[in-house]
Amino acid sequence: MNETSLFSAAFLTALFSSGVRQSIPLIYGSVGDTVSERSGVMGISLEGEMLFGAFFAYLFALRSGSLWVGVLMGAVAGMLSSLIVAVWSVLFRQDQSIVGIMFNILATGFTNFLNRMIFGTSNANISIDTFQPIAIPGLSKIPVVGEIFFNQDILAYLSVVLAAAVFFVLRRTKLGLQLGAVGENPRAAQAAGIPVYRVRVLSYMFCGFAAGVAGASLTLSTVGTFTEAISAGRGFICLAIVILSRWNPLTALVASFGFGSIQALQIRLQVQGSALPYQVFVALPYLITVLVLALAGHNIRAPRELGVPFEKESR
Amino acid sequence: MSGEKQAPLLELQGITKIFGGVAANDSISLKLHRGEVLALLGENGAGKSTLMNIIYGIYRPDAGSILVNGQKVRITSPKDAMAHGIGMVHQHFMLIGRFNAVENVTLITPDASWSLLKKKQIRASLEELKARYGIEVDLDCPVEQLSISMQQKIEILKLLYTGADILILDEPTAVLLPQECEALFEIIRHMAQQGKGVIFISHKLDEVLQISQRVDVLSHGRITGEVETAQADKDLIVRMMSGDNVPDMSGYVKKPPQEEAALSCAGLVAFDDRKVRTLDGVDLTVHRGEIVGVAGVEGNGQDELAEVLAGVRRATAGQIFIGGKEMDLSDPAGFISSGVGYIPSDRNTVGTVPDFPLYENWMLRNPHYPKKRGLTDLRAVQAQAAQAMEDFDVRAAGPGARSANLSGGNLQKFILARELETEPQVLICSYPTRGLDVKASWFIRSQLTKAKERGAGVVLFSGDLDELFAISDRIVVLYRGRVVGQLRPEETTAQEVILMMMGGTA
Repeated sequence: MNETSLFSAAFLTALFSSGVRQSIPLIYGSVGDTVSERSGVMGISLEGEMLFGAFFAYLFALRSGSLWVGVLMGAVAGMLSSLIVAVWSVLFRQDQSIVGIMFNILATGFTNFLNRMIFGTSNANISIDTFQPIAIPGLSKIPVVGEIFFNQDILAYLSVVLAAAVFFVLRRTKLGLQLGAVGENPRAAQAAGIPVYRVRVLSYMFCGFAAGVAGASLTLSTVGTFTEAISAGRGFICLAIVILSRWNPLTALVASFGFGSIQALQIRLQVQGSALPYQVFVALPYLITVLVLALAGHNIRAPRELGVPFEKESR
Repeated sequence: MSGEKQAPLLELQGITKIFGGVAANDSISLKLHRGEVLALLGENGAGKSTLMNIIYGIYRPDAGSILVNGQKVRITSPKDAMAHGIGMVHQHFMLIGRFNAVENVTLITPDASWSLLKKKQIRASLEELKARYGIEVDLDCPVEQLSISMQQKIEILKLLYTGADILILDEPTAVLLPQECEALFEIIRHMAQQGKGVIFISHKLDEVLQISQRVDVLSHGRITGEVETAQADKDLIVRMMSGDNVPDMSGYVKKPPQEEAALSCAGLVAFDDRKVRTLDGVDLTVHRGEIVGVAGVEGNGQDELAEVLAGVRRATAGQIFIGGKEMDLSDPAGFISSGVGYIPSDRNTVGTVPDFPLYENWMLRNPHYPKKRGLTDLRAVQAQAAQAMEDFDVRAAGPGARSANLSGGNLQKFILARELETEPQVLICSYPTRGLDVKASWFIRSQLTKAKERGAGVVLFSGDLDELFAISDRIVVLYRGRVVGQLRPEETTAQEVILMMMGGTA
């Protein structure tokens, strides 16, 4: 590959098409976290839930032979594991950051442990066939755009559906208002008859469910196998995306695509061979996350009670 | 009253609630009839709010029962309360700041969570209620951008929208200007005429006599008396409230201030948090041994002036001199070490750190707290705080109590004790008696006059004109960030001050 080919149409098409694939876990994660942050609970543990999702999705897909069983079990694993965090931080009112970080450490260790126990220490895990791209009739024939957006696998399409559905619920239903009320002023929400704890726990479980699907998409959509710490900080990038997109799921969709494309670019720069050590490229998406947050993160108003435990009978 | 023959709209029997070993409510029984305004009168910490929170299902009683229309009901959540026709305007409004009125009302509709928003429909019913009760308020603006009295009107609209029969108003006038109170009373009378029962909570005797048909007096968690308002004896009620005679400032004789300036400032300009220029060139001199009262309609720069003079908000232009020395406006610690005491308007979050024990709060804003070999001498700090708490009659479990657990009056006395401990040259007081009961207010005022007599220059920001007239040597009126008048209390009238506050010239 020579230098000029970097900007050829074929290269860009491949780059952004890969960008969309890279963005799938980010979309699920950030949309899930948008919901839970709206209700006032930070998804610090997104990373760990993604790992659980990734591992169990792979395990069940492999054993059952069905990718869908894998996705479902990944989602359930993400949701059940999020319940731990929800109970601890919402019902027992512990600091959400600390609980989340502990959980992430637990998730890394536990999935590594399960992985080695079940599949042994060899790195060469058995690969499974991943979800195949589905070309959308008509739309996929559009030059460049069709290849990028309309020739993806089912999880990619579903992620857009999820983002749109969540957007609709937040904007147009009473549930959306209730979520926002719980995150802004839980005491007022309680006075309005909203069960604050239940809303927070359920929205956090939704986030865990979405994180589980995000994890499943890592193993079943891209890689085809589970490797240790496969989530590689994506959960934290999701948190950044949620802030940048100002808790709007559709904006999060677009931002995820942006970050996914950077990831795709990074992979391409790596394989191109360069004088720079490959670690520089690996670090690129995270570096850009920090930079973008630092530069664009001004005047962002988070839900007022985000991360603050709520006590029912406090005076 | 026709309602007397039927079962009362609401009846409480033996309600008891214990908080941390102390009975906030001690077997309280009361009745509310249709078309009646029942006033619940009591000092701060008497247990009024606790009782109302029980009726509204926010707290659960440890004993006792609640009857609605003669039927015993179980209320375990505000939802239950609303289902039984109980509505409440809380002391701290229960509004979501980012939402507008329509959205806030949507939250309390009985619709299922999955239902689509019906903004148009709700908006139309609110417009109708607005017209019927003569309530003028913006329905589309996020409520956090509206004034307190507007927010209260939205709270009332919420109640009216639910069609609740039992309306609880928890100290609704505490946040209102006098003319706004009258409008509120009009709304309350209207609601009673329509057959609703209203519980009006207050610690202000005069307004209770004006609005209610019956008064229940609450003191230390118990009902200590009940009277028909028509036959009410003011002195008797006051004694029932506080248990003894209430002191006031009537015997206070003002000593003339000294010549020397304690504080002076020139050309102060400052912006508020929304970057609005709320101080627009303020010149002011406060002499030693003088109390200067600052009057003004809320939002005319008082908050910013108090903060700038205390050194906690940076003025963008102008100079401040404390005892003749020019201050570095960017150095709040310099203000403290130059002897500026500060009583902020928000005692719970600015004046103290709510989760700190009192003795730790005691060390805040005091660079000279007791130390031993350069390290904090905690024992001495605690002893000092305990002594001050005794001197200032701060009722708490001890210097180790969390400041969040103190009632407003006790916390304010504690803050005052802390600020006066170092004998400041200048004392900036922002609404020091707001929300406090008669006794606590009297105590704060008399301490301010003591500080003045010791030679301190006191700046007193207050919304209470009686207070300003009673103890200030001079009243300064702020309007749109400027000093528009300086008056001597004995040479002016409240009407004149109010006129100036509204921007009229005297």
